[in-house]
Amino acid sequence: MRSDVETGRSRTTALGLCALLAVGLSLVACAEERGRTPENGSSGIADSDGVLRYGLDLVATGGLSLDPMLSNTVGDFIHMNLLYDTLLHFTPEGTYVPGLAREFTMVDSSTIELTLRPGLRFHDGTPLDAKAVRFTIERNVAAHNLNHAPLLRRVEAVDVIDDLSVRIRLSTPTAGAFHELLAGRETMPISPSAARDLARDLDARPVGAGPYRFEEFIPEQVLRLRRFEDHWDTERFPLDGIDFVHAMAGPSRVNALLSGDIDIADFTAVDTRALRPRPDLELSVRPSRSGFLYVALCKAVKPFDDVRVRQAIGFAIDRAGVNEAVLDGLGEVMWTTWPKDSPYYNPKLERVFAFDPDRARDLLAEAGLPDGFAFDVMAPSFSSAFLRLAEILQAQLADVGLDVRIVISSNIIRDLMNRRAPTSAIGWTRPGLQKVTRMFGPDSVANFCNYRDPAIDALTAQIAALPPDDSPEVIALWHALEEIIARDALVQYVAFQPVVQAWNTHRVGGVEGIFDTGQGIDFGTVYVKR
Amino acid sequence: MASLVLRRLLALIPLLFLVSTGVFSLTLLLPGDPAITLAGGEGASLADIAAVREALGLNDPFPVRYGRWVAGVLRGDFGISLDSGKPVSDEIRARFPVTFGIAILAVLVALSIGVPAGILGGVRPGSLADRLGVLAASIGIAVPSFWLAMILIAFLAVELGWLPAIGYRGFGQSPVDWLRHVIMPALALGTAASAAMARQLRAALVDVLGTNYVRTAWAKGAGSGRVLAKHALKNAALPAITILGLQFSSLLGGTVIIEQIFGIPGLGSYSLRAIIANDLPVIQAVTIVFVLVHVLFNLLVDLAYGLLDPRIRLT
Repeated sequence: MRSDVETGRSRTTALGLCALLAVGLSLVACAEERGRTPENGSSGIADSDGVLRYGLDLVATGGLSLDPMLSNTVGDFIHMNLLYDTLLHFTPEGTYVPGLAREFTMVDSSTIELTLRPGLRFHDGTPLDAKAVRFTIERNVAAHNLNHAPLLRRVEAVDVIDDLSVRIRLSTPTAGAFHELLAGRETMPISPSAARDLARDLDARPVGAGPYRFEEFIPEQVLRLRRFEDHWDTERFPLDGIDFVHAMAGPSRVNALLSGDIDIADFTAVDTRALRPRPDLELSVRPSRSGFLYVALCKAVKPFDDVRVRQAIGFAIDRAGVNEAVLDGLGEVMWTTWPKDSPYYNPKLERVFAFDPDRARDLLAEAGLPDGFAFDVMAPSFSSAFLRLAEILQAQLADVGLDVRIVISSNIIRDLMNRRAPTSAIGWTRPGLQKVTRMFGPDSVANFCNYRDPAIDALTAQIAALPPDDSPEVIALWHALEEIIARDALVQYVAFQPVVQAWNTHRVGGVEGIFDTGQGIDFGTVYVKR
Repeated sequence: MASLVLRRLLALIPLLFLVSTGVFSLTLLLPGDPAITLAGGEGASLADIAAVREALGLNDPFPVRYGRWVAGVLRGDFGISLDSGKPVSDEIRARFPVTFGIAILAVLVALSIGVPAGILGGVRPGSLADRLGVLAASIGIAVPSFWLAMILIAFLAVELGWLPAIGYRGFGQSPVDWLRHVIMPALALGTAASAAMARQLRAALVDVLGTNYVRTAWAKGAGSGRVLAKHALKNAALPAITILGLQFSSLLGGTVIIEQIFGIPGLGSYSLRAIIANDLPVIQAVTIVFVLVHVLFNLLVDLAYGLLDPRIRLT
């Protein structure tokens, strides 16, 4: 006969199992529909109330900015473009087309005229006119944000021609290069009345003229944008809203996509291993023209002021090995500022710093450092690729006697400004001429230790004065520029990063235009399936 | 009981003094000068740096600076974050409920798994259930919480789609969503604590069930439930509660990594970023908060002793 203890134990066990079963069933019942199986697949028809969930790191580089004046990372462009729109739009092919401005003319090498579309309004109902454009540019110039393109500080004056037209006069013949800024954060129009309202913090409650207006921002959680019905091009956007959901780059973001917490995001090369075999995901991989890995060198401190030391570092880096290890072979080894498929690529510089450890050791010996030396390399913490790059460099440079200590930075912008270390293993994303002007021009946070070279300044000025096309003149100028950078080993380029975008095909359709690194996608074709 | 509480609270004062002195002394140990950072880095002029030092009172003697800092802490002012430039107090106020909620849920996980498992093993020592329980407890103690977190994500979020892999929803926004977002972090954190509790409770119960007074209770015809609940558990619970108090500090420390894995905006992820960024005001503030919470939780443990054991109440 069973004892009371045994009976009681059996009863307790049974009750416990029932409780566990109840909890489990509740969780299953509350589970959101993921749409990950063919049986649960959606119709393929666009949901007019669809809200896209875009995975984005909302805390990198000190937190998300909503005011273009305060933006401290190029990654802000993705959400700011939707909030504010831009005067010009760039295309995936790298050309410029009208945006908020229906016409734009390069009057001469120092002057651009723009004419806005009629009837434009900000989200608060105030008109977007020529005065608002002038206000915006002057505000951003005065802010002296080092993360903005240095060219912004060449704005001499913004003249209001009439209600819809402005003339932007530059102090230097750089109107050609200024097109980039007209399609970037630097000139995104903001509502003057909102900016002048001292009780309002534009960085907390932004007011722009973009296709989506601000609804809510919960720090480290989500930024919600909803359709602005009065946008000039609202019909082109199928989505009713976009939620930027916080998802740190790396495994967290991969898991978020795989579990259905987000619908789409950009990823790193290493993430493709986890994303490729999934039938419910689509993956787009192509080389970037503006995102790349490199090693920044402070030429103002010893021994990096010696070109032989900088060259030695170049020869000690196995770039193909880095591409395999960090980018899963999906990137492209980088010898100059442009990839091989670019008309500006200089074939004379192919393998200019081909992997040669013996030569690296010889150069160090010539520089009086036969036993090498120790130095710090900064690596941003928000990207596993940069950390991995630093680790691989540490191993590769050790072979030639260079003892690298890795310094992890959680705010690379601040640490570059503070020169926390003399070198940095870092990635950068800048279009066109900004790849050079921000590294070697004045007042740029990426110009490590404020390096200046009059020859580089002269060449960039000439390029900036010409329309951004592939004429023989522009190509020759680029080649000359790249030869100086390589000859003096001013920076050690490593590899172009791939642009990797992945999305849940059960939830999302119409992903057609994928821009370059940090520029997001063309939201004008994307839709959420019903 | 009131005198117990009063004595414990008074004992907090020297403890907090020691901890706060140690935390504030970090300013002397860490390299670099915060004035240089705030003045703009290596490019700042000497005049700028001097002005910042004067404005922040960094030229004052250590005791004066310490007193000023303590006065600020008592007012709830922990200074400004060197990384974000925002008041640390605001961040602490927003993040504390997030981390505390996860920690409490982890404690509930520990109790709800550890107590039944401990009782099951304690009333039938040597049985198959007991041996499986001991094995499970050993595994639970050995498995790191971050590894368990990743396994839970892979299985419950990615494969089954039952729970979200990342993110957080406030309890006030939606209690159900809150639970769905924090249950995995709580499981990851609470499993080790539940294993430790199960083992401790099992051992204590085995001892207690073999005592004369329990044997007497059986002999007098008391039912198993009464023997267990009224006599055995009360005495076996004391060491288990001690374990819970010790485990709580591990739970708090574990939130640093767990919140990072799940993308939860709590004190843990905040402190991790601060450590990487050498953001001293944040490190000091989070340390003080964690110590306070740990000490208060253990005060509750002490009070629980008093409730369970009248002899403690009377001393």
